Parts: sequence; structure tokens; C-alpha cells
Amino acid sequence: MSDSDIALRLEGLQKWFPITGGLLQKTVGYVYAVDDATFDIKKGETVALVGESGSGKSTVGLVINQLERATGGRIFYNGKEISNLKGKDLNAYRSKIQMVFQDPQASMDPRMRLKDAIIEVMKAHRIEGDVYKKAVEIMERVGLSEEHLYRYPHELSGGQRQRAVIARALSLNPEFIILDEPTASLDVSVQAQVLELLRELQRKYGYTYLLITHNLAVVRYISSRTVVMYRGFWVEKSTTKRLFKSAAHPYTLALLSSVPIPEPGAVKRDIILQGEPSNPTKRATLCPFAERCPLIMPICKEKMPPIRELEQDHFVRCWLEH
Amino acid sequence: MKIYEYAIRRIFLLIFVIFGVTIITFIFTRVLLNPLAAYITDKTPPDAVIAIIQAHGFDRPIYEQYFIYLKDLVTLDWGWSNVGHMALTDAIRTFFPATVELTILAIIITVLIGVPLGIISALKNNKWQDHASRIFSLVGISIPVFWLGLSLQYAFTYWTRSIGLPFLPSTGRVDPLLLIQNPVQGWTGMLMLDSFLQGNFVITLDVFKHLILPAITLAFLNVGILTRLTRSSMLEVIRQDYITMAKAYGLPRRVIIYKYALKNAMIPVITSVGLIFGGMLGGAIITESIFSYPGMGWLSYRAIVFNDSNTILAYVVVVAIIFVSVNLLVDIIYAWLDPRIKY
Repeated sequence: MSDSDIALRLEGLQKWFPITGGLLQKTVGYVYAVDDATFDIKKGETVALVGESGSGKSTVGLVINQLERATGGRIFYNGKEISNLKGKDLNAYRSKIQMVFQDPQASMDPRMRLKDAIIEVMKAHRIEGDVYKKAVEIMERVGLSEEHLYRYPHELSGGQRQRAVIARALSLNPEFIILDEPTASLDVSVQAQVLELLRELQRKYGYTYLLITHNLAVVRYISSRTVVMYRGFWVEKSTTKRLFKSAAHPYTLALLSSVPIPEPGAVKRDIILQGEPSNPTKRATLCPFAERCPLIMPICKEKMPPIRELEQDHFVRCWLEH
Repeated sequence: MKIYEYAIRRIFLLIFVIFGVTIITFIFTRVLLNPLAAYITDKTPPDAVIAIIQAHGFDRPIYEQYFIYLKDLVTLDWGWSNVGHMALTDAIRTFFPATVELTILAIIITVLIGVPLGIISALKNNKWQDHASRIFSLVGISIPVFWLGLSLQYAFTYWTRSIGLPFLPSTGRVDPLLLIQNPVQGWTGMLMLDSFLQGNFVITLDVFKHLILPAITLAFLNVGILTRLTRSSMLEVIRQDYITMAKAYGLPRRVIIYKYALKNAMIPVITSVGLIFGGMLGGAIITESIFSYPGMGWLSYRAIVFNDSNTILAYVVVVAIIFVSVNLLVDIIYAWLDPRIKY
């Protein structure tokens, strides 16, 4: 994999949210939301970032878009470091990186017609030419029509609304789209349509996706590579195929065992994890998963596990594989 | 349903509301107060009292009395206001515009200070600007109106005068001497507006000077309320996904704040401004009394003190009409501002 293929590279990305307390609102501690996110995303591929609530996966998305500034680590976009962009450069970068959030209803100003919402974004970035014509064209791209431009968000159905949010993201000709639980708030039947749309758009226009989700069915459907996160650390990453076939980390195994098998009578062995993720305000110095791990060993409670490459492009952070 | 249909329906309902208000206030005033008090004194001869009782129907059953009252109400024959020393319709015509003038100035002050302060407070959340504005609004809400009014009078009338600085008048609506020298025709009853339209700027300025202190007093409490409301509403909107989204689109901060955040944050603020406005129009009893400002509040205060049941009844009906109308207006503005609201 040559470096010019890589759209986005995260190196040891950290994001700690300060906790303030006391009379003077001093920083008394941190929530260690992301402590080590390291992975590459190739141009035109889809990488899924998987983990449970509080694993820091959404924070990674926010930091990539620079809605939150990283505490440590580096982010490269097309080979350029972006952590200290400001003003116009930042806005230009943001126009390349778009986000689609979970709740399409909340993602749109309730008092703006789609037309105004889309055209405003285009105007803010000085997109040349007939913006209205472009807006219509984009609406058609996501399976909506010109008529929908004159609607308010509440006048659309859930699926249409998510399409509209995607349309708005596409209006800036982005290269990279962060999909933060794009289907979580949709009906199952609509979920498939939206995912199909995303796949088709990628085929036609070569977008790169970072899919943030806890839904492994979605991961398997759309992503080519997968990164599993647990409490701010990536714990396993590989191609999606390999991960589903031969996952190594106990946490990944537990996640996979929770996916329903669409076959009547199929024998399924659930690995039920005990307890909850440990307190995020304490920094993990040993394996973050140790407390809940069903396969715990003495060493897990002593040292942070090393990273190991099991086979090509399959990395795991676990003592078991050492 | 179209908005005008909604308005018509609401106006139709308004009639019933007013009807209900008149029943309640009528019974209360007739039972608790002496309706004769407006018409007799210690020196009225006894046979004249009987004649008055018969003339006004006070000897009839109360429901009959109510219908007589209702007929008078509709035909604008509202009787005599003892405390106003004139017919009630004339009294309302004189005192109400004075309150309108005071209210408009006070609401302008309230909005011009309260809304920007709330916005700054929200944008600088937990910074010193926020703390300062929160302390300011807390003080505004906590200070008793009568104390503020008296303090302002002391500071800007007596104290500035005693050290030879220009001072503001502490009581009244206009300098009567000045008004005799520069007469103003009563077009709307709003002295400041009338004198301004007639080019009589001496009076305009004098009325304005008289209005400053009561308007500040009246505004101060509401500034606090409005600042807090704007702040919390703005904070709530800023935390919405579509604001994060707007940032993610790389829209300029100015556009995000004014076009996305402010527009949505203003909806509850407008309701509250409407209610404050309606409340003020009913007359600020304490403020108007302290500044001897001849408005509705002052009139109603005196009517209550002097057992003037006629004036109290008329006052309550007028306030009810104002309140329901302002509410209707707010609802209509609402529908216009928020496309999600359908009537």
C-alpha cells in the first residue's frame, strides 16, 4: 500500500475531555474518550469503526472533522497534517470531509427548506455555476426529486430525511464522508435502502467512507475493513472478511457472537460479557478490556498488551496472541 | 386550516372568554363591594339614594343586573369612574394610551438589553461574560420593583439635582405648565407620539424625560427574565445536531449563529416577550404608583383603594381583552416563524 493511496491516516489519536470542578472551575481530571486510535483509510474504500457506546468511536469522527481538537496524536489527510488548520483552510478542509449523523431530524434546521439548506452550504463555499441546478441534480443522485427541495424537514419521511442529509453532504463535492450511525434511527426496511444508496454513490463517485457504528450487520454489508474500538483504544483491525472469519481479540469475538444468524435452527453460542466498561475518567495503563475479558490471564492485569500483526493486515492488541 | 381561519376562530372564542371574565368579575364586585359607593356620599339625602338604587336597578335580582350591565358594556355606556373623575370610557381613553406609551418604551429597553445579553451569555458559556450577565439578571429578578423605583428617583432626581446636574422628573407624565404653553391635540392619546407628529418637540422631549425612569423600572425585572430565557434557549439550540452539522459543513460562524441558532432560539423568546407585553399593557400598578404616572395601573390601584367597583370592572374587562388579543398575536407570529406549526 503506497502512501499516495491513503486518504486519511490517524496516528495515536487522543481526545481527552477535561472535567472541571471546584470554585475556580479548574481541570480536575479527564474523560479519556479516545486514547489510541491508529488506522489508515484508503481512497475509495469503506472502513468501519465498531464499538459499544462510550468506546470513543464517535469522538474519532468529530476529531477528524475538527469539531473537536485532538489532545494528542496526528491526523493526516492526503498526506497533510490537519490538526492545526484554522479559519479558511479549516473550512476548506471541512468541505472535503462531510458528516452524516444518526438522527436526520436533528441534523437539519427545522425552519429551513431543503433548497435553502443545500444552497446555503454551496454558497458558503463559493461553488460556481447554477447552484439551483446543482441542487436538483444532487437530489436526484440520492433518489429524491426537485419537488422535495421545497419541503421542510418535518414534511419528509425518515428515509427521505436521511437521503436529504446525504444530499446536503454531497453538495460540496466531498471526497470523504464520515457516517456516524447513518441508519440507527431508521426503519429496518429503509436502512437497507440507505445503505444501498451509499454503496451506489461510492461506486459511481468514488467517495471514501468512515462508517461509525455498533451494528455489525451494517459493517459486513458495506465496509471493506474494520477497526474495533474498546474504551478509547483500537483493539483489533483487519479486513472485514477476515475479521468475521477469524477474529482474535476476545472483545471482537463477543461482539460477533451477538450478531443474529439469519438461519432457523442455527446453533449460536453467545459470549455474554459481564459488567460494564471501566471508568473512563481513569486512564487505562493495563489492558482496558481486562476487567470483562472471559479469557483473562495474570499478565493482563499487569501490563498494556502489545500490538501484534497476526497475518498481513490483521492487527490485534491482546496478550493472548503474544 | 389557513391561518386567517384560525384567527377568526380565535376571535370568536375571545368573545366567550370575555363573557366569562365579565361574569366572574361582576359577581365579585357586586357581592364584595358596594355598587352604590360610586354614586352617593354622606350628604346624599335618603330618598335620593332610593331613586339611585331604582335608576341603576340595584334592587333587581343579580342576574337581571348582570344583563343590564352587559347591555351597558356593549353599548359603551360604562358609567362613571369616581377615581378618574370622568366617564369610564373617557377614563380608559385617557389612561390607556399613557400605559401604552410606557409599555412600548419599557419593552424596547427589555428586548434591546435582554436578548443580546442572553445571546452573549450563551455564546460565552461559563466565561466571565456569562457570569456577569447571569449575576445581572439574577439581580434584576431579585430587586423589588418599589425599591428600584424609589432608588432611581433618589439618584436621578434628588441627588443629581442637589449637586447641580441635569435631572429627570420623578413623577407625572408631562410638565403641566409646559403643556399649557405648548398645547397638543389628542389624536391617539399617546402624548409623545401626538406631539411628535404635530412637530411639538418640546413636549415630546418632556414626555420622554418623564418616561425614562418608570420605563427602566418596569424593564429591569423583565430584562432579567428575558436574559435567562434567551440564554437557555440559545444554549439548547447550540447543542442541537444541526448546529454541529452546520459547523461540519464549514459554514462561517457568523452564519451559524445568526441564521441557524438565533432564528430557532427566538421562538420561546417571542412568546415570552408577548406575555410580558400583555402584562405591561394591563398597567404596572407599583411602578405607575411610585412615579404617579397616570396609566392603567395607577387607575386600577386607586379604584381598588377607593372601592370604585365600576372602574375595577372596566379595568378587568379591558385587561382581559388585551391579554387574549396579545396571545392571539403571539400565536399568529408563531405560525409564521415556525413552519412546523399548523393550525
